[in-house]
Amino acid sequence: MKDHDRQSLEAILAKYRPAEAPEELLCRVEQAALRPRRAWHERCSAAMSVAAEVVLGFIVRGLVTATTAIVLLLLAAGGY
Amino acid sequence: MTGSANQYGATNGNRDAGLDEIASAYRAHAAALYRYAIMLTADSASAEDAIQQVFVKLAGRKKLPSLAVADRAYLRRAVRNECYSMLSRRRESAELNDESILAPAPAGAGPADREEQAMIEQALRRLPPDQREVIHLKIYEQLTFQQIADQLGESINTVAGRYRYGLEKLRQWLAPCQEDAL
Repeated sequence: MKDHDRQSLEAILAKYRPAEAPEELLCRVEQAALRPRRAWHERCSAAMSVAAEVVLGFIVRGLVTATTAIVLLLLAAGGY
Repeated sequence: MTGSANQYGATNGNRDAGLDEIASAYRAHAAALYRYAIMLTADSASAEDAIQQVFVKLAGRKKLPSLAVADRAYLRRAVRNECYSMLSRRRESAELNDESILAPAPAGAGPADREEQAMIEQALRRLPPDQREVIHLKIYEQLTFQQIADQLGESINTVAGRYRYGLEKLRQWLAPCQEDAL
């Protein structure tokens, strides 16, 4: 193909552009691809925080119970 | 892609940062990737699926890749792989979406422009995907042959050949348009 023909054809093609993505498609894909995972991740983090709180609660309660028991035992052993 | 910070560990903050990067890259490049995908597949539904698949897969990885917002080449390769795997699954008889692969003509366009656009659309659809792809990258994304060759992992001669063959076919099919333009 001669340079002149090629340039003429390139000029014709360049007058047009490929179709644009519809805006709703872009939003839909972003929601489908990214947001559910983030939501899942956030729920997972929240669940982990609750679990940590529960475990911490058990530990604190155990310590309090043990301390109380020791104090009571000491009191009983002392004959008071 | 940024070299050293290539992967994120398992910490929550890093995963959030990774998803943010993917979301930023999506917002920056999705429109251009769609244009590439629709030119490659010649089908808007396939283009939508390809884009969605790429980002769903990226976001679903255990270790998220670090995507610089400017890293369109990486995403383009991922979209390309997805498009070609769709094209290989597509049956010859499969009905394609009849939405145009070219943007609508501007409001002031006359009947001759619309006719020309319709002919170009038809001609582009008739081209093999690999030739249409190179024409898209050269004319619409204005990449050099070297950049296209790097992008596609082909030699520069192969890429230039596809472009030349593609243009030659288009010239034959669009001969009336070219005569009008001269």
